[in-house]
Amino acid sequence: MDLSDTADQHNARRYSQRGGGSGSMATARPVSLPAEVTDIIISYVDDPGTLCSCMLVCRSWAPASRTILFEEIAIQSPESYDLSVKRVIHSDKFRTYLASTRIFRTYPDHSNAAYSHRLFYDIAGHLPSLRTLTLGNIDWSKHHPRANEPLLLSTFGQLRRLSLRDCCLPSFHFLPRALAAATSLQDLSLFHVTWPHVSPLVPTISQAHKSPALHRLSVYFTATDTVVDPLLRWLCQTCSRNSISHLLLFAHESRESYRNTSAIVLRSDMLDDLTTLGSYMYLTTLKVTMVRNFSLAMFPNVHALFIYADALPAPSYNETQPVQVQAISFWSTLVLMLRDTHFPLRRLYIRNVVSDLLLVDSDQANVVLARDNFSILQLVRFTVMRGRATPKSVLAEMIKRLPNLYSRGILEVEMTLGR
Amino acid sequence: MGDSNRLTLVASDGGKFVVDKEVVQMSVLLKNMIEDLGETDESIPIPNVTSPVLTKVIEFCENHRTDAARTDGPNVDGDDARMRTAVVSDWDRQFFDVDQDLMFEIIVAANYLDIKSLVDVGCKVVADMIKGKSPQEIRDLFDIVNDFSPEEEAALRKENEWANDR
Repeated sequence: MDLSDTADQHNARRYSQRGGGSGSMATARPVSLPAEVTDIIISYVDDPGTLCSCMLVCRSWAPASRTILFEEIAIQSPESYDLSVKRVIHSDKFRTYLASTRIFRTYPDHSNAAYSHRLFYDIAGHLPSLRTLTLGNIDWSKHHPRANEPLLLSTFGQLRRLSLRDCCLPSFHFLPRALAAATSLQDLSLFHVTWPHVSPLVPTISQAHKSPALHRLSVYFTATDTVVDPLLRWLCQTCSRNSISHLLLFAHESRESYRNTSAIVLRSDMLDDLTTLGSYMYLTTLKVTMVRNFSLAMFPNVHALFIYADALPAPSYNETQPVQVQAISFWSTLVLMLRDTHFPLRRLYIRNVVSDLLLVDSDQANVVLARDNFSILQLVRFTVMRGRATPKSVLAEMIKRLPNLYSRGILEVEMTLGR
Repeated sequence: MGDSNRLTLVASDGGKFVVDKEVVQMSVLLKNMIEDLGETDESIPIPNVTSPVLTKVIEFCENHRTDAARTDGPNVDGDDARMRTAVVSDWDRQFFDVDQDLMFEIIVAANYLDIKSLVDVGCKVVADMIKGKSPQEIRDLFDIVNDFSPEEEAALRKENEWANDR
C-alpha cells in the first residue's frame, strides 16, 4: 500500500463518511477523546491558570484538574497563602486531593510575611504525601517560635527535599532540630540561610535521633555567613556522615555574586575509595571557592585541593580600590585557607586568578607552603586569567614569590584567556 | 512462508501494512497478541484504526523504534514531575502538525493499541494547545458541553482564587 498522501486524504474521506458530502465539513464534530486520555492531557498541563480553566470545563474534567493543581501548591503573596489555608488546606472537602500534594512552595516578595510564625502549624498534618518543601524569604527571627515548631517537620513522613532560600532562622539550633525531625529527608538545600546570633556551641543529639541521612547537601553562602562549619560539624554526628554522596558548596563574596560564580561540586565519583562513598570526612578531592571563613580542617583526607578564585570581584583599576589592595586580599585569603590544613595534600590547584592579583610583594604563601604538612606536595598549579600583567611578568613574579615551590620543581603557571 | 521478522497489519478499511515485528511490538496490545499467536503468517486486524491513522502510527513507531531500550524507569519519588517536564522533540512536534481531528484519532488509536510513548507525546502536544485558554475555548476545542450550573461555576472560581498569583 502506498503510505504517502494517506494522511492528507484522511479528512475528506472521514467527513464524507460522517456527513455524506463535501458540504458536511462545516457540521462535522471533533473526534471525542476518552476520559483516560483527557486525564493524561490534563496531567501534562503545567501552569495553574490553565489547570483552573480545565477544572471549569465540565464535571468530568474537574477531579483530574484539581488533583494536578494540588500536586504542587506554590504561593507567592500573603493573600494567596491565607486563601489556600482557609479554603483548601484546612478544608475537609479537599483532604483526598491534598493527599496528592507532592510539592509545597512559598516565596513571598518580602520577608515580613505575617504567616511565617504559623507556617509549619498551618500545613503540618495536612499534606501527608509531601516530598518537596521549599520556603523562601521566611523570617522566623521576628517571632519566638514555640519549642515544638521545628519538630513539626516530623508530620511530613515522606519529605525528601527541603530547600530554604533567603530565610532567617531564630537560631542555629532551629535547623538541626528541624532536620532531625524530618526522618525521610535526603536532599537539603540552603540558599543564604542566616540567624541573628551565632552560637559557638554545636548542638548535641541523642543516640536515638540519627536522622537525617542526607544524600545531597547544597549550601550557598557568603563570606559573612557562618552556616557551613556548624552545620557540617553537626551533620557529622548524624547518619549523614556516611550517606552524603553529593556535597555542593557554593561560596560567594556577596549575595549579588551568586549567579556569576561557577558551581563548585563535590561528587561521589570524585572519591577514590568507594567503600567510603558519601562521607565527606573521607573526601580525597575537594573543590571550593575562595572564601575566608571556610575551614578546610573539615576534610582531613584531601589529596587534591582545587581553590577557585571566580567568586572574587574582578580587579578594578581605579584609585578608590587599588588593585594592589585586592591582590593582598587574594593572597591573605589563600594563606588563611591553607594555614589550618593538616591533610596530606599532594596536588594544589588555584584556578581562575586574574594575573594582576598575583603581583604583590608578600612571602606569606611561600612560608605557609614550606611547612612540613606540605612536604609531600607534588604539584601546585596556578591557572591564571590574563589581566593587565603580562604572562612573562606573572611568571617572573611567581618564581620570586614562591621560591620554595619553584626550587622543588612543582610550581606550574598556566595562562588562559581573560574573563 | 513469509519473513518471520515482519507481519501484516490490516486497518479497519482493509488497508494492509507490512511492518517489522520490532516496530509493532511498541504496541503492548499487539506485542501480547503476537506472543499469544506464536509464529504465524496470519495478518493481524486492527478494527478500530483506519489506514491514514495507522500510517501515522507506524511512522511514529518506526522513528522511535530504538527508544524503548533507553526508557527511564519509574520515578523513585512516585511523582510525575519527570513526565510533565519532558520536552517534545522537533520531530514529534512536526509529526503532530496535522489537523486536529487526525491528531485526536492518532491519540485514540495509540491509546487503543497501548503505545505509551505516542499517547504521551500526543497528550503533551494537546496540553500545549490548551495552555492559556479559557474554559469556553477549551470546551470549543474538544466539543464539550458545560454541565456546571452558574452557582457551581462561581463556587469553583472562588475555590481557585488562591492559585491566581502564580
